[in-house]
Amino acid sequence: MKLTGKIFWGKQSRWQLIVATAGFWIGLFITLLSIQFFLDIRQIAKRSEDEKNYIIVNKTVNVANMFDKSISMFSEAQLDSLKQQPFVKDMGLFRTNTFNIYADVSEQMGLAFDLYMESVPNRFLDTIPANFEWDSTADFVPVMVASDFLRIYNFSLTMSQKYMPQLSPLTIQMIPIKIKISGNGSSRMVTAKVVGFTDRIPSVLVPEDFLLWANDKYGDGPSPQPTRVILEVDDPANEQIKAYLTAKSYDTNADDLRLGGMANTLQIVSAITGTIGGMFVFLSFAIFLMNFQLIISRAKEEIGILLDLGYRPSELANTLNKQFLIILVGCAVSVIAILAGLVAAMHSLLNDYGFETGGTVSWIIPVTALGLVLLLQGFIYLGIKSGIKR
Amino acid sequence: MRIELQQLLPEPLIEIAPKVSGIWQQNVVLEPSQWTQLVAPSGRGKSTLLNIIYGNRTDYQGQVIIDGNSTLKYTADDWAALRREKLSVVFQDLRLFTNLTGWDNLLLKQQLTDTVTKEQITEMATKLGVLRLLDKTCGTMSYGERQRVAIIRSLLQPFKYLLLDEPFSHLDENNRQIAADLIKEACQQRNAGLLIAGLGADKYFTYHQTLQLDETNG
Repeated sequence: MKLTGKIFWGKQSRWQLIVATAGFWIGLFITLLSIQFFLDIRQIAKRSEDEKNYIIVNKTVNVANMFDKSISMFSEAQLDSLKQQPFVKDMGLFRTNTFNIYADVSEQMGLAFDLYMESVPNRFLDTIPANFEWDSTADFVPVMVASDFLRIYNFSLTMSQKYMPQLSPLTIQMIPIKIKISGNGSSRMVTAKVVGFTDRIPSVLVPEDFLLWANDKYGDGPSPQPTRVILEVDDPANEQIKAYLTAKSYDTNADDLRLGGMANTLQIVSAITGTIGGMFVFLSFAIFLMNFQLIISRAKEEIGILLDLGYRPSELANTLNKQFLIILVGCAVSVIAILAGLVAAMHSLLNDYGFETGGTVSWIIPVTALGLVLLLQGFIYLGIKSGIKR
Repeated sequence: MRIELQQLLPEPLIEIAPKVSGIWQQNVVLEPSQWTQLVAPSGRGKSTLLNIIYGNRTDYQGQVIIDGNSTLKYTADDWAALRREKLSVVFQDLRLFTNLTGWDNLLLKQQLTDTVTKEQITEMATKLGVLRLLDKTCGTMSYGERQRVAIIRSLLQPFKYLLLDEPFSHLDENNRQIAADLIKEACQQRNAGLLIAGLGADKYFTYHQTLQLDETNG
C-alpha cells in the first residue's frame, strides 16, 4: 500500500497537511497545558483549603498578663465550652514544657540557647514524619519545627548576622542538637534532631508522650492548663466562629489566606487560559478539517483511478485513515512528552516558592488527548468515506 | 463472461438520440470470448457506453447484465472484484497517474492480483519500445507513450472481457501491430472476450461481430 500513499501526498497536499498538523498540534498543546495548569492550581488550592480548616486559638494578651501568666490559660470550663460549640469538629490541646531546656549546637554553629517545646496530638499534624516517635529507652528526641521558623532564620536572621550560615531543610535535619533537660533537682542529656517541618503549627513540636513524661519527671508541679488549642472546623469563614471568639476575647491565626487568595486568582487565570485553549482546539479542528477536505477533494481524481483499477473503497479508506491516525497520535504523543518536561520544570520552580505540585502529568491529560484524537479521527473517517464514495 | 445490454439509453442522449442505433434502446449480447468491434463517429457515446459497462456512469436508462446479474445491484466491492478479476479496460483518457512513474503506474495494477511477473512486464514494455521510459513520470511522456503504458497496464490482471476505447489513436503503424498482437495473445490465453471502440473498421483483429452505434445499415 506504499504506492497508494505516494499518490495522496503530492506536493500541494503535503503543505496542506503540514499547516493542518501544525494547527492541531498548537491547539492540542494549549488545551492540555491549561488543563494541567488548572489541575496543579486546584491541588495547591485544595491544600491551602485543608490548611484553613484548622485554626489555632489563644487568649488575647493585655497588660494584666504581664503580672499573671495564668490568665492566658484555658480553664477546664472554658475548654469544655469551646468543645461544645457546633462549629468545632475536633479539639487538640497544646502542651508546653514545665522543665528547663538548654540546647547546644556550639560545635556546629557556635550557638547555645534556652528552648521551649510544645506538643499536640499527632492527628492535628499536617505531616507526620516516619521517625517522629519517642522511645523512652533511647536518648533521642525527634523535633518538628514550623517552616516559618526556618524561613525567618534563613531570610531574616542570617542576613543580619555575619557568621550564621543559611541552612537548607536537608542540612538542618542532619545537625544533632545536644539538649539538657533539667528540673526537680535532676537533669539528663538527650540528642534532638529536626525530623520534619510543619506549615500548620507555628511552634517547636515534640511527641506528646515525651513531653508529658518529661513534665512529670523534671517539671515543677503538675502540667499547667494549655494556653493554646487547635480546632478542626468545617469552615473557618463561619460567622459563628468569629462571633464566639470575639465574645470570649480569644484570638486566632485563621486570617492567613495567603495561599488561598493566590490560588483563586491562578484558578481564574487558568480557567481563562483553558477557555482560550478550547477555542484554539476548536479553531485548529476547523483548520485541520478544512485542509483535510481540500486534500481529499484534490485526491478525488486519484481515488477515482484507483477505484477503476479495482481497489476496494474500504481498502483506500483504511490506508488514508491509518495515515491520518499516525499523524494525530504522533502529535498527541509529542505534545504530552513536551508537557511532561514542562510540568517537571514547573514543579521545581513552584516548589522554590513553597507550592507543592505533583510534578507529573495527570492521567486526565492523555485521556483528553486520546478523546480529541478519536473525535478528529471520527470526522476524518466520515470525510474519507464520503470522499471515496462516488 | 456474458454481457447483455438491455434497452440502454444514456440520459444526455434522451433528446438527441438517433431513432435507429445498434446499441441504444436495443438488446445486444456480447457473448463469452466473442470479439466485437464498435464503430461510431466521435461524440456519439462510445466512451459513455464503455463507462456504463465498467460501472463509472449511472445516468442511464435500461440495464447491463453480467453473467445473469444486473449491475444496477452491484455494490462498490462487487465492482472492485469485477475490475480485479474479470473486466479490464483502456479508457480513451487512459486514467494514468501523471505524477507517478510508468513503473509505479504498472505496479499499482500488478500488485492487486500478481498475475503477471515483472519480467513479463519488462518483456511487453520492450516489445512496445517504452521500457526506457518507465522510470519517467507519465506526465512527461508523450500521449502515444502513455497509451502504450495504459495498454500494458490493462493486461496485468486476469480478465474475461477487455474493453478498449480507441486504444491505438496515437500509435504508429508498427506499434499498432505490436500492441494488437499483445492484446490478442493476452485474450487468447485468458479465453477472453474483447470490445474495441473505434472510429472506423480496423484490420488488426478478426471480429465476430461489428456494432454500429449510429445507424443500423452500416
